[in-house]
Amino acid sequence: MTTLDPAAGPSPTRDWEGHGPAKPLGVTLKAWALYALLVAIPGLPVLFTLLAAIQPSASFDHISRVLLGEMAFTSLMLLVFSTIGATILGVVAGWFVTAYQFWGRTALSWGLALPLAMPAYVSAYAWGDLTGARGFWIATLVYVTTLYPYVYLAARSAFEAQSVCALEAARLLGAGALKRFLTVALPLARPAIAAGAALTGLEIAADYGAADHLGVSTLTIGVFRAWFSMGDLAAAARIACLLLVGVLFLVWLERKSRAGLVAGGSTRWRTPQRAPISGMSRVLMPGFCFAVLTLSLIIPVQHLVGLAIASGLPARALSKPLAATAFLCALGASATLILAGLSAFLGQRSAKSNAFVRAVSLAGYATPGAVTALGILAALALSGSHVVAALSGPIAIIALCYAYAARFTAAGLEPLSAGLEKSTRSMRESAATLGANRIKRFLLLEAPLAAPSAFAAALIVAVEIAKELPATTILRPFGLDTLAVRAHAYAADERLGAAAWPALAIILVALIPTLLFSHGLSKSRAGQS
Amino acid sequence: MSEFALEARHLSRSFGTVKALDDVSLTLEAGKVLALLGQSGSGKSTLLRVLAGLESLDAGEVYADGRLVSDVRITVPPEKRPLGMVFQDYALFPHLTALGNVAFGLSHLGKPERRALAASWLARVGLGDRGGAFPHELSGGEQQRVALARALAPSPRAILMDEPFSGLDPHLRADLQSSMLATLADAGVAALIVSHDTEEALAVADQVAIIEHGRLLQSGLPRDVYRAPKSLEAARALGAVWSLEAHAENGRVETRLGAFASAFDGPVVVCSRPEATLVTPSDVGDFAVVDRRGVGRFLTLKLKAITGESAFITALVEAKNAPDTGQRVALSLQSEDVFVFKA
Repeated sequence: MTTLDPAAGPSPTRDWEGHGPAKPLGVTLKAWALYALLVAIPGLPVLFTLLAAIQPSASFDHISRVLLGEMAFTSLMLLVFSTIGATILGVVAGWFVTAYQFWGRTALSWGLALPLAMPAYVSAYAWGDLTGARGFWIATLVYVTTLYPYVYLAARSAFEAQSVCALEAARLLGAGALKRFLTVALPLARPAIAAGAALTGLEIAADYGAADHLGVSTLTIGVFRAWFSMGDLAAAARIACLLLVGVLFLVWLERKSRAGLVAGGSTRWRTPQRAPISGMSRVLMPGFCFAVLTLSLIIPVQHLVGLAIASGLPARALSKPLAATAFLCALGASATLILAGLSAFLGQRSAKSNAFVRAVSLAGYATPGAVTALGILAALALSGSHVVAALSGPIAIIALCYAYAARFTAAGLEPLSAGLEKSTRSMRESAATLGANRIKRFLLLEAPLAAPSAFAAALIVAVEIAKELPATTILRPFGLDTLAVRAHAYAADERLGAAAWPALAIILVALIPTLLFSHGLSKSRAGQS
Repeated sequence: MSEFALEARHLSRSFGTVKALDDVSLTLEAGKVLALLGQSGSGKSTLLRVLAGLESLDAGEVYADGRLVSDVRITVPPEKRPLGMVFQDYALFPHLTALGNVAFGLSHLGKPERRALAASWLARVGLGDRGGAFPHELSGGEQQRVALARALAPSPRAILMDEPFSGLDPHLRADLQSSMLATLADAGVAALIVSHDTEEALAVADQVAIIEHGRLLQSGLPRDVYRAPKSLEAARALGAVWSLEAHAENGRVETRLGAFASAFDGPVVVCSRPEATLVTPSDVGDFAVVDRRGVGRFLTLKLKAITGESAFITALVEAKNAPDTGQRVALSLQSEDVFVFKA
C-alpha cells in the first residue's frame, strides 16, 4: 500500500543533520547528485514521452479525428463511475467494520482487504466469461470490485484512528448514528478517503489488461494500439501525454481535497466500543460486507477454478511463466529496493527532504506503466537504435527493471522508511559516540533494525511486479512471458481455462503480503495498547 | 593527558535567529563531575551536543584531552573523540542484549576480550547477571546503568550525560546517583551532567555551571555559587530565593529588613534565601505571616509587610515554635546572606 501524502512518514524532529550547513557526522554524500538521480528515474521516461510526442506522426491525424475523443470520454467516464463506486463501497464497508459489532466482523474486517490480491484483468477474465458480456459496465463492475480495497483500507484506518471522544461528544449533543457518521466521522476521514480514491483513479488510468480484455477503448488502450498495431511511437506518445494530463488532474484534485483541513482532533483516546446492532441491520451489515467480498473475490476465483479444472493444465502454462516471473521479480525488486533505500536515506535528512523524496516516488507511481514503458521506448528510439531490435536480451531486462523501479519505489519506500525510523536519532548518535563511523552505524545498527521492514518492502514490490501487465507487455524481451503476460495472451485467444492457471497463480502469490499485512493492520487501533 | 578532560572556549552557536550558545567558556577537570544547570531551552543540551561533536560551532573552540576537536572550520566527528555519552532516553540498541550494547564500543578488541571487558563493566554497575537480557526486558534503572556501562567501557576521558535521571522514579534516583558517582570515581572518568534539577546537580557535582539563554551565568564550586551568586538568576538556579525591589544610594540600600551594602546606586534587587531569613515573633514587627506550608521539621512561611510593599518574603523555619498565620513577626538577615543586584 502506498499513500499519496508526501508529508506523512518520518517527523520533522528527525533532522539528522541538525540545523545549518555543517554536517558534523561526516555525511560526505554528494546529496544533490543523488536527488538528481531520484528525479531522473521516473522523470526521464516522461521527458522522452514528451520529446517523442513532438516528432512527426503518420497516423495521429486519423486517430485524433476518429478515436481520440471517444477514448478520452470513455476513460473519463470509467474513472468517474468506478472511482465513485469503489469509494462508496470502501467507505461504507470501512465504517461498518469499525463502528459496529456484528457476526463475522473480525473475519470480514481483514477479508475485505483480500481483493487487493485480485488484479483487475484477472477479475475481467472471470466476469467477462461468466456474464458473456463485454464493455463499459462490466469494466466498471471489475474496477469497483477490485479497487475498492484502496479506499476501504484508507477509510478503515482513518475511522479507527479517530478519537472516540469526538463521536461520543456528538452523541451527547443528540446526533443519531447516521448524523454522527455524516457530520463527524466522514469529514474527519476525508483526506484519507480522498487519498484512497485517488489511488483507485490512478489504477484505473493505468489499467491495460481489463480494458483490453473487455474491449473498452481507453487512452491506455490507445497508447498500445498506436504502438503495437500502427508502430507509430509519436502517436502513442501524444496519447500518453493526454493520459498524463488526466493523471495530473487527479493528483491535483486529491491535493485540493485535503487543503484547509485541520489535523488531529482530540488527543485523548479511549478504547472504542463498537455498537451492537439489532433488527434488520444484523443481517444487512454482514450481508453487505459479505456481498462485496463475494463479488470481488469469491465469484471470480470460483469461476476461474472451475474453468481451470475443466480445461486441465495446458503444457508450459505455469512452469516457464513462473520462472520468468520469479526472475523479473528478483531483478526488478532489487532495482526498486535500491532506489527506495536511497530515497529513504535521503528522506531521513530533513522533513523537507522527506517530503521531496516521497513526492518524487509518488510521481513515478502515478505515471501509468504504459507511459513509463513508452518513455523508455522513446529514449531508445531517439538515441537512434532500432527499438524492436534493441528490446531483446539484456537491454530489455534493464529497461524493465528501470520501469519497475520508476513505478514501484513508492511501494517500497514506505516500509523502508518505517524500518529506518526504528533506529532513533539518539541511538545513531549514541553509536557515533561509541566510535562507530557512518558505515559501521549502518551495518551494526540501522540495517539489522530495518531488516524486517526491508523484507516486507521486498515482498510488496515483488508482488506488484508479478501483477504488472502493461509495462511488461511493452518492454519484455521476446519469449520471456510472465504469468501476467501469459494469462493475458491466453485470455485474448479466448482460452480462458488456460488463462485461469497463471491467473490463479498470480492471486496466490499476491495473497501472501495481503494476508500478512492486512492482519497486522486489523490489530492496530489508536487508543488501544 | 591534559589536566582538563574537556575545555570549551568562547562557544557560540545560533539556530536561525536563536542564539543557543553565546560566548560560553567552561572547563571540565580530569576526574571531576561538573553539573550544567539550566531551564529547558537554555542551551545546555546544545552545549552537550557541541562538546560531543554532534553539532558544529559558529565560533569558539573545544579541546578534548588537550586536543582541538571543534572550531569554526573543523568538527572532529563524535566517533573520533575520547568522549562517551549517556542519552536522556538511554538510546540502548533494541536488537542487542545488555552485553552486546556494552560491547558495541569495544570493536577494537578481539571477540573474547570484548566479551570479557563488557561483562566486567556490567558487573561494575551491578548487572553481572543481566548480560543476556534485551533492553525491553530491563527496568528503567537497569537500562540507565547499562547505558552508563556502555559509555564508560571504551575508557573515554569524559562522559557527557543528558538528564540521566529524568526518566526514573524519584526513590530510585538517589540510589542510582550514588552508585553512578562510585562508578565514575572508580573509573577516574570526568563527567559533565546536564540537569534542570538543582537538588540532583548538587547531589552529584564537584562543580556547577549555570546557563541561561545560551549564556554562562556563573560556574564554580557549588558552595561558592550558592553563597555568592553573581545574579538573581544564578541565585535562583541553586535554590529558592525571595527578592525585593529597592533603591540604593551612596553604596547602601535601606529595606524593612535592615540596611545593606550595595555595589551599585539606583534601582536594585535585594534578595536572600528562605533558610537565611530569621523570623522572630513580635507584636511590633513589620511583617505578618500570610501562609504556612509544609510538614515535618521545617515549614515555609509566606510573609508580607504590614504596610507598603506588596512583595512576599519566604522563610524556612523550624516547625516547633513556628508563628501562626496572621501573627506579626520581625525579620532579620545576616549581611553575608543578602545579595544585592542591579535591577
